[in-house]
Amino acid sequence: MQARWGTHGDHPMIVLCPASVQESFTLTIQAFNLSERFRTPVVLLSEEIIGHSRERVVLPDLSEIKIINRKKPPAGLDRYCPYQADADGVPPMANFGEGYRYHVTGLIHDESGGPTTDPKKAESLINRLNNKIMDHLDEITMTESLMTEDAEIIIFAYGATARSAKSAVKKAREMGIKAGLFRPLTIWPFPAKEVAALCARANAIIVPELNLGQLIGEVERVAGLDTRVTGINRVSGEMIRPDEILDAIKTEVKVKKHAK
Amino acid sequence: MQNSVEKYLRTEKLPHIWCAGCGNGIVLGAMVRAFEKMGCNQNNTVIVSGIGCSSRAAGYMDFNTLHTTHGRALAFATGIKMAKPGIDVFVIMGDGDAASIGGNHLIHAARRNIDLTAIIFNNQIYGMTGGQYSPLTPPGSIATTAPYHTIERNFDLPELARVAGATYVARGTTYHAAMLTNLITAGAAHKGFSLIEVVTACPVSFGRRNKMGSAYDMLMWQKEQAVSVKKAKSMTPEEMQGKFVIGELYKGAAPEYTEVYDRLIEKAQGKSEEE
Repeated sequence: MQARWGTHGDHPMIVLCPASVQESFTLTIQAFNLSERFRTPVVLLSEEIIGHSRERVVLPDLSEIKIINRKKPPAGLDRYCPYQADADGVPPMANFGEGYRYHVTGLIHDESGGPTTDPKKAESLINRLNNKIMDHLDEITMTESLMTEDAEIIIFAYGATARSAKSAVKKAREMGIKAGLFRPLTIWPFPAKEVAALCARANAIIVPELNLGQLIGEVERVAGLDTRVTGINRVSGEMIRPDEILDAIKTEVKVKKHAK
Repeated sequence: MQNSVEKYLRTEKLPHIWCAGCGNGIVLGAMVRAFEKMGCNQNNTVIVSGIGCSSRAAGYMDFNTLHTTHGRALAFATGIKMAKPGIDVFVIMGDGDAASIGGNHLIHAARRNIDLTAIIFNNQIYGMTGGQYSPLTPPGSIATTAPYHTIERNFDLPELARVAGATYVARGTTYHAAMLTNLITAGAAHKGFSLIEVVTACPVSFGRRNKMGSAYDMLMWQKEQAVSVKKAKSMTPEEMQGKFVIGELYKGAAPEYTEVYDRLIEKAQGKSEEE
């Protein structure tokens, strides 16, 4: 939540959440690529467990890594407007020292980069910043689904907790329970479209989180009243274990039977 | 202002936002005169600023200008200099910005002796936010956050920078404007971390509460309290009470950070055996 709403002003934020050391590596590259593509900060949101993990990491050959660099303005323009966007909402960005002199500020600014208090320009800037992200969710949203196609009970989990959830889902399937795992790698913008699709099929969504319930609010917002959403929360400094998630899955099975 | 320095200004952005009597315009004037004197290449120069009245100066100058977050100007500037050591980087900060919020960035930029020229507008107060006392507000001053008076001792910023490792340290005032241009020019020419503190007046948020009179009176206060390096040597501590020294306070030599870093890169790439 701090990654999303941590500063003043209304602005979009891309936040990526790795579930392994390997993914910390690959998502770091993705984070830079998204940042360069959309000219925006990207947060790679790790947690204590992933941050302290030591795991095998396979580093790909440099030639296999896809690198996106920012688009730059053509040379020789009479006047370069550093915040005048192309059709995709992203303005070409010149580097300092390459000939186009301009001003960068955290204040509300116009297309020239200079500060402004003009309400129309302020509104246009904030809308552009949001739209350039919200119009390109297909390029930004990364998710992973495990056995969700026919699942009646979905575990929505991110970060290290998703690994416990994966184990729980496999055990539930062995017991004949139709459980599935949905893991957002991009947690902001929240993958609302994907979660809505899950809710259309599943009866219940379980959201295990290592906090008192943060992203569950987004899940509830998308799920509405037709899908049961329950949390498993822990703030003791320990992980949520697979058997605890499995217990929650079993509880949902009972709830469903009872409802019948 | 003479036409010769106008090319360093974004005249379309003027008039500036500063209050009548503010000294910031004098510092801005000294900066552009220094640029003129140095024959500055605007495309190859970056001016970074923090937050506060002083930091708005960056936007009025026709360079690559970067108005950053509070206290972090030196962090941004360090990044720019590391990425492109060939670029000349000037950093504008206020006293609160540089000494309080950015205090750690300041001592570590000095310790690294990275080739930046930091110009600190010391008006002894957080002016833009309404007159809260800063680490450079003298003890016994009145501020909105010290209605009875401040009880904290103030930093001697040039002294702090010197002991932290800066290799060029100076102090000027907005009264001694010609000297200020020279100090900025010398600081820019110096290889390594240069800090120039500029004592400037904030008649609205500092002077008014502390009964210092008009903007003119505050300039005269600078004239009376400032003592040159040469003269200070012959004065006793009692005579120096309440006064401050202006001029070039320290000039030393130490390895410059980006040069040392370049050598390290060469070594890591096996191009050089040099330690």
